[in-house]
Formats: sequence, structure tokens, C-alpha cells
Amino acid sequence: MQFSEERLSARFLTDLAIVLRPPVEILLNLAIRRAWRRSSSAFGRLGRFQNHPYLIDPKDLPVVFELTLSEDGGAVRVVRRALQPTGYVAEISGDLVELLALFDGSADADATFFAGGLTVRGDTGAVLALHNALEAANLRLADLLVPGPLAPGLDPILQRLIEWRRARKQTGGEPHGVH
Amino acid sequence: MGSIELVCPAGSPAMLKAAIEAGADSVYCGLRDETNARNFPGLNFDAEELARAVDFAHRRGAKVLVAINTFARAGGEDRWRASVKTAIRAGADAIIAADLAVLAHVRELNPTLRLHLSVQAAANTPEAIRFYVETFGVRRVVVPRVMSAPEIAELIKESSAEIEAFVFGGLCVMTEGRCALSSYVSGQSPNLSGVCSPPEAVSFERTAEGMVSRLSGLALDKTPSGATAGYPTLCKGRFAANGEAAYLFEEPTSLNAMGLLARLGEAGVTAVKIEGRQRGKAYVARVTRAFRKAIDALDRGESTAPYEHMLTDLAEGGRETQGAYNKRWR
Repeated sequence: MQFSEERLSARFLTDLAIVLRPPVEILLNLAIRRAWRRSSSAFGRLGRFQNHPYLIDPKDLPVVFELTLSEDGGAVRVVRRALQPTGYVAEISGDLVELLALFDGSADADATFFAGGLTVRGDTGAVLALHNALEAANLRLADLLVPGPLAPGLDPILQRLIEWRRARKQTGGEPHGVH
Repeated sequence: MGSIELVCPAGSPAMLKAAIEAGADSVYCGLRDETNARNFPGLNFDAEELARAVDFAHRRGAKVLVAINTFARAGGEDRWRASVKTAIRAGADAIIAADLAVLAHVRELNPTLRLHLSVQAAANTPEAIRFYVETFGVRRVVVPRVMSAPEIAELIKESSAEIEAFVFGGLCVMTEGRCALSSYVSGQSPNLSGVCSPPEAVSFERTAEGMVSRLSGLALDKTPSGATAGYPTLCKGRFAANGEAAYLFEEPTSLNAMGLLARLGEAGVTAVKIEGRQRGKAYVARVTRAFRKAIDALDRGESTAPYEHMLTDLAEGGRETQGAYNKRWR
């Protein structure tokens, strides 16, 4: 009984995420555009990995994200996890807070990866190039989570929230989601 | 600046800013090609970024040291010449080089620009240092990470150049500038291509038992679930010999010599260096802040002990060592 309730709940969450896909995609694409405007050369650091899709997989969300960047900008697509197609240059998975901390550069990628907080598949060079491009773009958490003019003011609050969640996990408050 | 200069890594403009804001006295960086020993995808500076970075650093009283520290390739020397020109045009405070041809070229183009001898030159005797000082006017020597603290102290007594020593980060256990291990498996080495274990040759496979790290398809280590792994390099691989699998050369650990800062300072070390241009702004901000506090504490006559274990989670394999500084196995 409990099992089917869990399955129902997972399916409900997935359906909800898919219903919310258009506004989420708009929000994330605006974030990419803002970062690109701020530092237009940053995504060029991807070199030969420009225009190749990456799969970003937050283990604790019912959907995954397909991210494609180039020196002319980029795009994000929300994809149902069960339907995820193949052909990504690299796949990066981990808990949402770890991925957010990596995207805004507040976590050390090597330490997180080697401690088991992240999984990567595919071309390791592509993963490194993406990390360096995102660092150069100076993405802020608020860019990803809050639209427009509210972003700068809310960034310190979001930073502290993410730090608190990560610290709770590291001190054993919760089991790690990635093995 | 304190009694010891703190030299920090800058793999990108974002890292450079983070290092300087966290208290670095100097930052070192490279251009986006094989002329520097951290030639990784997406890393480093183009000419315009370097010029802006120098301006940013100078406005905050920090120096920029540009690493052109790989060995020029026969037939491809123009690339090294171009990097030297770019660094001089950007207003770099010093060029860090190892190759005799690069050192000579810098001196020819600019007789007064500071030259720092890269760790890649592996100069570890007074005679070697004297040669570089007399021939090229080298002002500072970055000493290899295979020297012990007493050896560095002895070297300083007879050296006419400033001495810079690594105190934190990845630990090369081979004599630097002479290690070709990576090229046997991947075809690329730090000396010629600027990479040890190039990322495109590295792969990680997670299994139910743990993680297998490979270089060009060869398994170099297997880490059980829950344990902290390291980046796969041949010198830190686990090999079977006499029926037993072990780390035959060095375990996957990182250097942390913060506890030796006082000794290194007393010995006359001018500058201490943090490794890790490939790591990112979170890493450099934390490490710089911790070492800034430690150096400032020393200058106030206090102990560095409160800061010595602040960085363990950043270490390779989650483990730290004082490396050869406390070497007992020679």
C-alpha cells in the first residue's frame, strides 16, 4: 500500500513539474540570458563543447534539465526523467542543493565530486569546460530562482539557505542522495 | 602584505577576483593554450582578460604573475613567444618560466621585468639557482615539492634569489619538469602539453561497491562507497605487486604545510604558494582566507594552530600531508 502511495506521489509530482514546465523553462532561459549579457564571452569557454547538450539531473526532483550553451547564448529544457533521451556530451547528477551551489560557484566542484556528492558520466573534459564557463559567467542563485529585479537583493538570503541545507546534509542531518 | 607573500592560483578572472578579495598578495595565472602547465578546457585567460585582470589587481595593491612554464616545442616556438608578448603588454609583474629559451626570450624583450623560475625547472641546488640568476637575472625560484624543510633552509643560505615554496594543494611526488608518466598512458604530459592526466582521458564509473577511476581506460584506483576518492594520476594509482594492491608511489593526498609556515618564514622563504588553478573560486576564496589568517597570526606572534584544519574537506582523498617537508624516507 505504502509502495503504491509513493508511486502515486512520484507520478503526481512528475505530472505537476511537467505542467509547470513552460514557466520554469522561461525563468531558467531568462537566467541564462542575463548571465550571458553580463559576461558574453563566458560561454565561449566551452570551446568544442558549445552547442552540445548536457544533462543536469537533480536526484531529488522528478524531472531533469537539458542545458545547451554557446558563445551566442543558451537554452534549458525540462525533460521528464523517464523519457530522457540519450546523446548528451555529459551527465551531471546530484542533490539539487549541491547542483545549485556548483552553478553559482559557492561549492568546490572537486571536493563535492570526490566526496561522492556528484556523479558525472560522459566526457570529463566537457564537465570541466562547463564548470569553468559557469564560473566565468558569475551566475547567482537568485538568477536561477527569482525573476528579474528582485534577484540581487534576494541572493544573500538564498545563499544562506543553500549553505544551511548543505551543512545539514554534511553533518549527517540527512542521508546523501547519491551513491 | 605580511612577512611572507601569499601567492594564490587564478584559473579564471572570477578566481583572480575571489583570491584578491580574500587576501592574496599575488595571483598567478596562464593564457589559454599549451604555454602554461594548467591547459584545461575552459580555463585560463585571453589577452584582453589578462590586461583587465592586471588592472583589477593593481588597483587593489596585488601583483599578477603570469605562468609561461611549459617547455617550448620545436617548430612551435612562436606560441611561447606570443604568450611572452601578451604578458608583457598586459603589464604582468613577473613571468614564471622554466624553459631556457623562454627565459632568454623574456630577458631579450624586457631586461627589467621580474623573472620567476617555475617549479617545472626543478632547481634544487645553489649551483642551479646561481646559473639562472647569473644567466637570466632570475629574481625568484619556486622550489620543487620533493625538498624537505631543512634542505630549503640550507638552500636559502646560499641562494641569491628569493625562494617561493608550495604550502597547499595537489602534491607532485616526482621531480617536477622531469615527469613523463602521464604521457605513457594519455600521450600528454605537464611539460609539453600543460596537463597531467588530461580530463578527456579521465573517466569515473560508479558501481554498487564504489567508484573506479580510469585514465585512458586503465583502472588506476577503486574507492569503496562512502570513501573520498582522488583524481586519477599514475603516481597516485593503486598497483598490485607481490600479490598485494597498494599505492606504491604516493597515496591520493594533498599538501597542507600551514603548520610549517613559521619554520619556512624563519628559514627565509619569501613567498608561499597555493596550488589549484583548476579548482574554482570557492576553493581559492577559502584557502586564501585561511592562509591570510595564518600569516597574519604569525606576524602578530600567534600560533597558526586554529587555522590548520580548516581546509581538510578540500584535500584530495580527504587527506592531508606535509609531504616532503617532513620527509623521513630518503
